[in-house]
Amino acid sequence: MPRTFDLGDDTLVVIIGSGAGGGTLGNELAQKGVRTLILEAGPRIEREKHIDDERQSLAQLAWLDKRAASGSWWVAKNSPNFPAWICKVVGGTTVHWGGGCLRFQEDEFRAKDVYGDIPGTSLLNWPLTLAELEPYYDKAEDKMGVTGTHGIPLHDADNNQIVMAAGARKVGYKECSTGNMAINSRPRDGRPATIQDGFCFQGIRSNAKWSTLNSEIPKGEATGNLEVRPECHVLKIEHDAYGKATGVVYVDKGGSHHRQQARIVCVAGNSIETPRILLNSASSKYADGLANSSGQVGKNYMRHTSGNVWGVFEKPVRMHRGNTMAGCIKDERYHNPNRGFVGGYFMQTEHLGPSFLALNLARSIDLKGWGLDFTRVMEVYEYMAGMWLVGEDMPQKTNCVTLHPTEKDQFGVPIPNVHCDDHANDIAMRNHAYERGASVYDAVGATRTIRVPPGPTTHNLGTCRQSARPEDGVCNRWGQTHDIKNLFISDGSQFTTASAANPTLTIVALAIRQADYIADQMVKLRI
Amino acid sequence: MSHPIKTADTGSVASPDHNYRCLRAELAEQLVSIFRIMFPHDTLPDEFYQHVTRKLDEKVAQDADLMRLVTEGVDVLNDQTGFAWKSLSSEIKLQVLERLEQTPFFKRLRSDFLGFFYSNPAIWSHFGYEGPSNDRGGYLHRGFNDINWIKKEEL
Repeated sequence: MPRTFDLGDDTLVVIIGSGAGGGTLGNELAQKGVRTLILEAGPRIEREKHIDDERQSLAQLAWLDKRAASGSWWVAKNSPNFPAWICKVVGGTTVHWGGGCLRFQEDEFRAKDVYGDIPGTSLLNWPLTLAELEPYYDKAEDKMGVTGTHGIPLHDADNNQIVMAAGARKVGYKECSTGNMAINSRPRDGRPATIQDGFCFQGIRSNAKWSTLNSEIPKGEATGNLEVRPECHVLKIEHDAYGKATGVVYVDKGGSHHRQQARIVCVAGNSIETPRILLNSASSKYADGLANSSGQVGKNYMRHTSGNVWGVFEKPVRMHRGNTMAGCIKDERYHNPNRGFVGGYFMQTEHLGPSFLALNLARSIDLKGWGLDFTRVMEVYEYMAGMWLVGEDMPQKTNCVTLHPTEKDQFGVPIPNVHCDDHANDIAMRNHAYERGASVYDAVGATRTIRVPPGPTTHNLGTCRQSARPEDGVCNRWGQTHDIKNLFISDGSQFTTASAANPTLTIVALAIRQADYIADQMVKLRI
Repeated sequence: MSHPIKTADTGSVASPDHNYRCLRAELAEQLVSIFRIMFPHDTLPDEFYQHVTRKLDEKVAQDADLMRLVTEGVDVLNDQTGFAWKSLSSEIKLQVLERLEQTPFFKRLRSDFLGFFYSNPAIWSHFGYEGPSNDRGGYLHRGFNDINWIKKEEL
């Protein structure tokens, strides 16, 4: 049964955030008998309350606290207070995700060696290899019920994927399928098979999709070793005279401040909140923030080279019927510098309803954004197919999350500013992906294709990266910070590079691996 | 900053048809017309455009700055030709809007329209979008793979 721990209990592992990283880590530790507390800034909204409506669901699940953005990206000009589309609820952004689960490739862990010196980047090799992570990928795929692994059948193709697959075949691609999805294709692990509900992003109402809310957290709670405390917004992490983390300060729902003690603190607040908490924890001992002797906290922000291509056809597609994102072309995911850029990208089906399609098309580089040009496309909604492009973007030291110099949030903490400029490699990759994506639809008779640059970011990565040398990053190959051995980074912030793959599977695999390490180090009394 | 609007200042007259809280009926009517030029869906009746205007009305009721942006924006728009908006042809109306495309007024109307018009469930069937599905068993038995113009051998 779920239990509750005392504020003064300094034997606990305290995890900040309950998403793919924090929620998984919490369950894994609880299964090992480690007493674990997860502090989640958002409320607990069980799946029955999730809403099949894009706009209402965003209001229900998204992190809407004010943020700021700067740089030359679309977001800074058009959506500066909402730079990232991530969640503030128990389950974190696993309550709002497509379900795509792709492994990194071996060479993506060695980006610096494989891609070479790319001017303007802060590329670095991971202090970790694919071989080391493979057993954990296996565990993560099994835990999440990923289709196409562990004998789990692939999904049946929906209308959107049938169009993309036909186009892929015609242009000569060999690796197109409904892909590796953490959405049940058959009943598994107490959850039903997909009903092709079309709202895979908007919560987990059907319960077919894996999230920490419907899987890790209840399993962890059932051990009696895990408490999840919702609506507890962490302001900072505290430390003792030796520099060791001692606990965290948080604000509860009623606005009261509390000091929660801890033996170990793990930060999993997503790549914007994680560095923000570390930076806001600056003290006389750590003037630049916790775990920041390298100056790398908040740096190297990555968001994937994304974008959309929409195809308009003469006959109906009805892309909205089916899983939101269950189609994947893998042929372009390989590193092939002959294309004019390093790294690779995937094309994945994505549908939107009229509500969010309008917002998406409004930033298209092929449409005026209003007038007849715009409404003509909206009018043929039923005749459209859509894909999302997701590829490896380059880490740059200047792309970063910082504390805003003047603006503060409702708790008096500086809001985060997210600065981002595309690297030339990102632009070259996106242009290539636009062209190839359009060619897929052209091959099956598209009357028109429409390119859309990325909006608010769903894949936020890299702001507390792993590095072999302490001066190059924030944490080691276990996510343990170089500076403070009982402080861990447990989310996508620890990514050294982005890879082309959707990040959730790797976040989960790293969390399972980190749990093994933390339990081992605790038993050995090293932390 | 939000300030309550003094209705006397804006000459609020609740239209029996539209029930606007703050916008004068005449202004609301012109906004509907502006929206119809900005986002022409000719077969859709005014009521869907009025839906957006009502949402805007709710916002200006809470936000004096927005009220000013809208009223002054419409004044500027009307000053472009010096003739009553109603009397202009669609082509001229479009030209006037194009001239104001970069103004905060235009951008705000555009963004509110995009936010409120296409998210109105009453409009979805027009686009062939079938909306919420979980309480109807998803699309598993309602055509998730019923596309018939792509042959199986193409896959």
